[in-house]
Amino acid sequence: MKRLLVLGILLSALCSLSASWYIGGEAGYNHSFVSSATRFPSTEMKGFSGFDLLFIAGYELTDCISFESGIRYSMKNMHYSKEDVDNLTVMHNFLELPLSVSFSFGSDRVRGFVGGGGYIGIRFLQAVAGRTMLGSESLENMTSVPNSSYVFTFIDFNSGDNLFDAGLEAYAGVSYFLPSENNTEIYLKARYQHSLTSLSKGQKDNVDTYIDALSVDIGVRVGV
Amino acid sequence: MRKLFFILFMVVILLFSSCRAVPHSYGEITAGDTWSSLFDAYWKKMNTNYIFWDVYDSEYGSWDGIYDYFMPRFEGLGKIGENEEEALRLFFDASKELDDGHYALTVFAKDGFLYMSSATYKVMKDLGYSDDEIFRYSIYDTTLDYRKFEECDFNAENIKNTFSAFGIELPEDAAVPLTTVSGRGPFAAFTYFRTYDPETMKGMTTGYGITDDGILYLGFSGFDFYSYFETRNEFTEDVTSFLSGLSKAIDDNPEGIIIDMRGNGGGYIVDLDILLPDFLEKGVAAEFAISRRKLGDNRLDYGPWLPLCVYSNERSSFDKSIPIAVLTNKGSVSAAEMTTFFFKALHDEYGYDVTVVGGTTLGGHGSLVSNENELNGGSFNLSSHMVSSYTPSTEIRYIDGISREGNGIEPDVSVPFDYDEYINRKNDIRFNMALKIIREKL
Repeated sequence: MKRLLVLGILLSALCSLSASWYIGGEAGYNHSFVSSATRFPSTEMKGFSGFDLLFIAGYELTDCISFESGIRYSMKNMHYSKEDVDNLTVMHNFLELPLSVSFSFGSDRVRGFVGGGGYIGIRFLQAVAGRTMLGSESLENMTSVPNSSYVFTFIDFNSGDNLFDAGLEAYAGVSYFLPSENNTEIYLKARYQHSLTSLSKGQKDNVDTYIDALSVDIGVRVGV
Repeated sequence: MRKLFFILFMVVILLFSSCRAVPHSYGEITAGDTWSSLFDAYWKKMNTNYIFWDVYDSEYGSWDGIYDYFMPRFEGLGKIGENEEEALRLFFDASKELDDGHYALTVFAKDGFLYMSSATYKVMKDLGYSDDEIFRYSIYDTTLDYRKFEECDFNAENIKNTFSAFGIELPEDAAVPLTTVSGRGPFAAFTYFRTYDPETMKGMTTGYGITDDGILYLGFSGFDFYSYFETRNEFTEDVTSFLSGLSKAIDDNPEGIIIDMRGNGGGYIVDLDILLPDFLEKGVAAEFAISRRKLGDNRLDYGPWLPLCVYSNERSSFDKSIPIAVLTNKGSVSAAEMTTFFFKALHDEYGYDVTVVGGTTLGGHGSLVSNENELNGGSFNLSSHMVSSYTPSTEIRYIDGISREGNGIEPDVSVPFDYDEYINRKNDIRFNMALKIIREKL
């Protein structure tokens, strides 16, 4: 910890003071990584594709170091499957408040950056789409009550759902300052989110489910 | 610079990976040779397999509270084979508050066994029996007087006794081929048959009749028609002929219809798709219930609610102005309640004239599979069937989304059950009320 602090101070000393605010937005694709468990056979929970939308606001302390926050909408999806029974995408929708510190380096036009921090948020909606089975009676030769249904619907939360969301994140990327607008940059960012909160709570022997995500976003930042 | 990034990267990974526990499940659940290990395994399987946790209410707070209270008590009982009655009593007390109308628990001991069902517990409790009396009943102690229970509608009001009130006597332990008689009870003609398997000592009794003034009556003991199509046997022809005759009787636009679900213990839900399309207009998909399963190991890890519908077929051409009465009692459970839901939905959503008459149903709203791994929940066994738990893997509710599990469906017209009138005087008051309601609409 001490070494990190010393490192931070040294890096700051390499930068010149700038002290300005900026706003921006970014959007992109994410792929989730699910960490969970089940005692039932032939049952899997895996990561799936989703997307992010983020409004950002930041403060540039120096031309190298900035603090950034914002409001992020993130759909982190997972795929639930049970052989011959279920083939479902479960869509978890989050509103998150990230807070991070970023260090940038490079030329005036093209700069690289790395950063990290944390986020808190709320899971506000969950939906499911795909195919699922209700019962096991064979309906061959019968008329048309389906026992395997295609579904797209919302799932209500209950007291077993943890709606509070928090975690750590780290990112790296490259930005390009537009020649015509010296205070506007476009960037490409890769971000990894590590969830510290399970999707479920509240019972003895609770089986936790964590969703981490790797995002690739493009964005724009404008100095104000 | 590269070293710096590497150090930063390693710090991030180490920091992230140490911040949360690794998720774990129970894995394979087994019991040892002590009562406490057996209870522990039972509690865990219920934790993952039972579906009605969102309506569970216990004097011990929750299923977690059950573990905290009962585990120390099981630990004091030692090995399986010792303190057996005390152990069976603890299993009884730990499970008696489960709402599931299908729920049944069997625990075998060296000298005897416990068979408790949620249905029996609730009915006996409502009749004023104490927990001690119900426990003794559940371990087959025949020294106590259970006549009040034996003479309630749950046990006494069923198809066999109803047909007896009509003047049709059927044997308990034999099949009866498809038979049509005339002039029995209020019926100009009555067609019935009974299947019977001497190995399982089980069968299905079913019949329909037409009164002199054109009211159609249908009653059957269980939803077992599907099995005679799934596996053809000596009864399949009678079943097919019966269904064909019934379908024609419905198509002939009777003056009214009485569907008798009393004492009907349910069965194959797919039987609804055999029997009920005849009650629909062409081109209708009648949604009558919603259904869901578990999608995870935690008690409240539910999947989505999905609609249950009966679809009309090429024969469907029902005149929905025909008044329908559905007879129910405490013995109406599972698919019998699904059928009641169906007719209630026809009234509530599709403009049919339906009245539910009789007594409150049991409240067993779910479907079951035999293997817990088939749909990740439901019935299970432990220790070579030393403990067997019978419970649905799928929960079903009426289209209004309200859980009636363990409470049942209230009739529109409540008629008290009178054992003496029904059994001794063969005066079926509830049936007569249904007939009266239909006739008043003609």
